[in-house]
Amino acid sequence: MKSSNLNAIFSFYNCHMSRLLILLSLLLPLTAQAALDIEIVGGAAQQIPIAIVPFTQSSNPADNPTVIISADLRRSGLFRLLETGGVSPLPKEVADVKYPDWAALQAQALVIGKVEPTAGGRLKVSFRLLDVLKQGQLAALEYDITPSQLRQTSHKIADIIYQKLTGEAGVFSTRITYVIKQGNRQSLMIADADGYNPQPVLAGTEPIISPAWSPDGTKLAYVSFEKKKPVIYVQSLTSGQRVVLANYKGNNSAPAWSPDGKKLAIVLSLSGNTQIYTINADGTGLQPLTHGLTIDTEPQWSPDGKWIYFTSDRGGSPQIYRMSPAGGNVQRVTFEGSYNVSPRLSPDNKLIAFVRRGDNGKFQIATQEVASGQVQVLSDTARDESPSFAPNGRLIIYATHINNKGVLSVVSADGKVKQRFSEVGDVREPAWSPATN
Amino acid sequence: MNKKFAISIIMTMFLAACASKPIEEPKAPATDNSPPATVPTPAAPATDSSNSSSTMAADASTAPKGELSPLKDPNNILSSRSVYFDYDKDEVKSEYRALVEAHAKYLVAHPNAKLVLQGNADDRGSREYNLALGQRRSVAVRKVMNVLGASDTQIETISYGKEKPRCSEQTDDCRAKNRRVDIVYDGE
Amino acid sequence: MIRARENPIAIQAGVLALLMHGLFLFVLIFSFSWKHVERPAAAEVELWDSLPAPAVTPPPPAPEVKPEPPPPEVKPQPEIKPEPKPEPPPEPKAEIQVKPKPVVVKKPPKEEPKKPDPAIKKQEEEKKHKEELDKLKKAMLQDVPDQDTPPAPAVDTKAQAAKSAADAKRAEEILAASSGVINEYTAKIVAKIKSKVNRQLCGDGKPELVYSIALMPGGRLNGPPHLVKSSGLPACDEAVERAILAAQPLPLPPQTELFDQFRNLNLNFRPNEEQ
Repeated sequence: MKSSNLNAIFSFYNCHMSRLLILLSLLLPLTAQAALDIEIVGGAAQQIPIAIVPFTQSSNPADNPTVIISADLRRSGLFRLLETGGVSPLPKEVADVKYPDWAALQAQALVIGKVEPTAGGRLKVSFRLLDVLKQGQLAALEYDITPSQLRQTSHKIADIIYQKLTGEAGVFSTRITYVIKQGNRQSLMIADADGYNPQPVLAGTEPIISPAWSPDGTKLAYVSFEKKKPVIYVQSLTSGQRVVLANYKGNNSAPAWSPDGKKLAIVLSLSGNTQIYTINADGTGLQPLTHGLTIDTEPQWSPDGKWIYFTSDRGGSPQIYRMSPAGGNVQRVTFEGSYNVSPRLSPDNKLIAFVRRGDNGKFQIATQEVASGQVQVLSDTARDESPSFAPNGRLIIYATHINNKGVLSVVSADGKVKQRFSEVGDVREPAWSPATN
Repeated sequence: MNKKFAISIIMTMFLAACASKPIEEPKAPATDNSPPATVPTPAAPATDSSNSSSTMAADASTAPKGELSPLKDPNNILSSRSVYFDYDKDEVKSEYRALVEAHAKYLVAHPNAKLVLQGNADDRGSREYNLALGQRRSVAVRKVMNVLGASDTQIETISYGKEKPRCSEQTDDCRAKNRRVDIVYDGE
Repeated sequence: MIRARENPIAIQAGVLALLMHGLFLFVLIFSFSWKHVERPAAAEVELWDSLPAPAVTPPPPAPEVKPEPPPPEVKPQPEIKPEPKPEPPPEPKAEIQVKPKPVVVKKPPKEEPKKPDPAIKKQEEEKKHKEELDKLKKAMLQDVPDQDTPPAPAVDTKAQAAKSAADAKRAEEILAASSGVINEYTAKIVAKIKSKVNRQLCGDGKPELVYSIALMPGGRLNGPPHLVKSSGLPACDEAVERAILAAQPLPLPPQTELFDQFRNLNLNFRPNEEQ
């Protein structure tokens, strides 16, 4: 009976507590052991704050990897480079690093390094990447190089830092190709991804368009008008030798390598109409892929080899389609707007970069998700052309015009980071090299 | 950033100058035809060019000594070499039919004569798509010539797309000048 | 013999004892308002680790009276005793003790605000839990006769009803104030960590991840964050962990008695969603 009394009393207690319980239930249930549940939706940070201690005192990038590494990381858009002047003395060895100094600067990562001369005029470059928050080491490497390799080594270090902190492969050691027009001359150039060290591949007075890297990065296919008509050449970057891949009657253009490098898709007007063909890399075995009276051009293999995307006006206006690599099973891909051309696939096959003419008449770079069809316009300029993905899929290089002059621009594939990095001459037709191994 | 561009400019200029490694395009392709006739001789009687070409070798632009080829004669419609098109169109407009007809008839009369129809497009849009548009236009002109009896063995159709603009201003006038087919005879 | 004689008496005495107990119990049970409440399967009780902030400004005491529970044996009519208004509900001033309950002497209300100040140790907390629970029960018991005592005059019932309503309202206000502080600092913690989350490293999908962390009173972490649920993207997990570490010290309320609310946090992240 006593227990029933207690129960009764508890009942009263509960009945009156019900009002309070409603209020109390607004509070998070608490005991000394239970955890407070917190939801954090979204994220405002855009960049990883990193401090790079100068490897040497020189401000000349030829001597100081820090200049090149900082520029690479900054250009990626994912890093905020912090001033290191507030910390004194600047550490050279791990033992000298006082993490609280760097945490006070809001740094999350720290790079220290050295360049030391060694025998025979060589250099030893060493660096460490440190986690300021966890106070530990993320990477440490050293390189034995000649002074002429310092720039290349700096890019490698930037790649490692990038990869450790973002989980993605860095593209600082890759190259780009582009065509530059100066007066009545046009030259096909290859340069480092940061625009440095440009080397000419072809130079002359006739136009050059549509350069395409072979998947192994050792060859360039391109279209030259030196024979007073468009002809496709393939040139070895190691030997400098070139061959004519296709010089059929009419136009030969838009070369695109298959992912295994054994074939190219090309565009001929041999039949009278502009149509897509495939051809072996040695110039044999020409096969038509498309037929008809309409324009079919700009073929691009998807990196997984399953599709060839192309531009066609078979529907009445230029749109992007795709077909099987043998030529059948044609599907339309773009449906928004009246002009969608120049398809390029991201390395993961998920995104198409292309050029669209908007309602305002502007030609702009856009992306479309393969799976969902969702379109995002990436640029705010008006005469965009020739998009090309970086091999890590994060960046897109393209050509545009500023003050009626051709410039190259880089934008992140999600549209968030933009950078114009070339104002040298009249530049067009960029293509990003494959990953360097 | 700007400093780097400056360095890049300088380096590029230096490199462009020393074309030791790169392949240099052949200079304007040398033709094996005799040099074109140049100075007109006003007093010389106009020789019927069709006679001369029947006895001469391939070169259609070569006139009998002292005579101006009708292809170069400013008073002759054959010296007009460009057909212009409307935006996004490849129809040969009626105002150019006479021109196209004249050239077609020339080909018929000179079976050894050959020409190239070079299609062009204005600067809007991708280079490869414009190459294809230019091609459509040159094909359109060829078809008109075919109808008038000119043989395809004498006609090549190619396209320059937007790579050979006559002007580069961002105006409709300029663009109209670039939407064209140029008629170029072998040897020119 | 005696035994034989005692037996019947013993029985009667026993019955009388039982009857008296029964009467007592009868009075106890039925002199209170008795709403037939469906008893929940388990009593759900919110335990408070600590007292609410003293920042709560108590409203001026109204001259209301609160009846005390009847002395178990004799008074069916509850006596009305003034009870100070500004006390938080878990700690009503219980001046009358109900017999089956443990006795707790309540300090005067003026000492209440001082209570949260000293550092709270675990034993004190548990003791407090018990005390608070008891006080709550007493408050209930005190409330009960307010409304339902049949013989109570109508005026008294009204006054008593009004009083318990006011008590409850006071309780609401105090709860709201402390929950307001907790919400405020929760929001500050969210804002600070969120400002460091770099979702560019979290891909294009809708990843979700959970870290549990333990805090020290200064707002710094006690040990590394523990990944309870991964997003599936190591770079995303690491970016979020960096955000947590970089957000130290996390903002905590100045009222140290509220620290325990924040001692252990489960952080649920959806970095690619918009809020």
